[in-house]
Amino acid sequence: MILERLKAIVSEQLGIDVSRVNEASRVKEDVGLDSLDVVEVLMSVEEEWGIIFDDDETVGIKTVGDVVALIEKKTK
Amino acid sequence: MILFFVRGEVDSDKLIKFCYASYRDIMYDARELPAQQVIVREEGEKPRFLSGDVHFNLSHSHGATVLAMSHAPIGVDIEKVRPVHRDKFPFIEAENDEDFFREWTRRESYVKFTGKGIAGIRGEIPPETHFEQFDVFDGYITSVCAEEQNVIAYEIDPSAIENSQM
Repeated sequence: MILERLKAIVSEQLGIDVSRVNEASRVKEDVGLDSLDVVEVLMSVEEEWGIIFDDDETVGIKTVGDVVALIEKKTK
Repeated sequence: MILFFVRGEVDSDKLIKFCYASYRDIMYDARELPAQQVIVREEGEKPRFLSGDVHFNLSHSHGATVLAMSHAPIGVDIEKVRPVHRDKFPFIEAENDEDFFREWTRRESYVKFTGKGIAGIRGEIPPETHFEQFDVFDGYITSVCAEEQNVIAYEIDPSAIENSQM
């Protein structure tokens, strides 16, 4: 469920083909996001799930799966 | 520092190794540097050389890549200037999209310099922090955050990197 909603956000916001957005996809290299894209997605994620990311929490984000895991952690 | 700009996408490891070889050749005291470096990629940290002699940082944006290399810690960000909903980013004051990206890349290069996560873009930057900024490739802005030092910039052809024996 989280992955599906995340895919929708990335695709709608940035016009990216959903097929590029899978758990293992690296956010920068595979999905092709730059730093502005990533922050826009994270801000939409914050709005969508009603959460706020601390600086430290976003340090390790490499893949779409990392974002999904972070959302899961913050919405427990 | 040396800034290596590439128009296009290239393999990160090949780029890092290619640029290190050039850096070592160009910098006057590079004879003291080893012929090769080991790249360390640890979770939660930016990639770095194991030896710590030389620092580097990489950035990509929609068709352009930049690698910054220096004797000292360094952060770099390149962004393609494009329409943005500036009101979503109240922590950035800008009158137009280009101004927005000047400030954005400044902040992001600082975040990269410190190795913080991307949410650090909203934070305060200490006033003594030093930046250099460049307009490149007709439509991209690059900011570099590092201690004040000489800057050399090159454009590298992606095929030179792909064909290199790295």
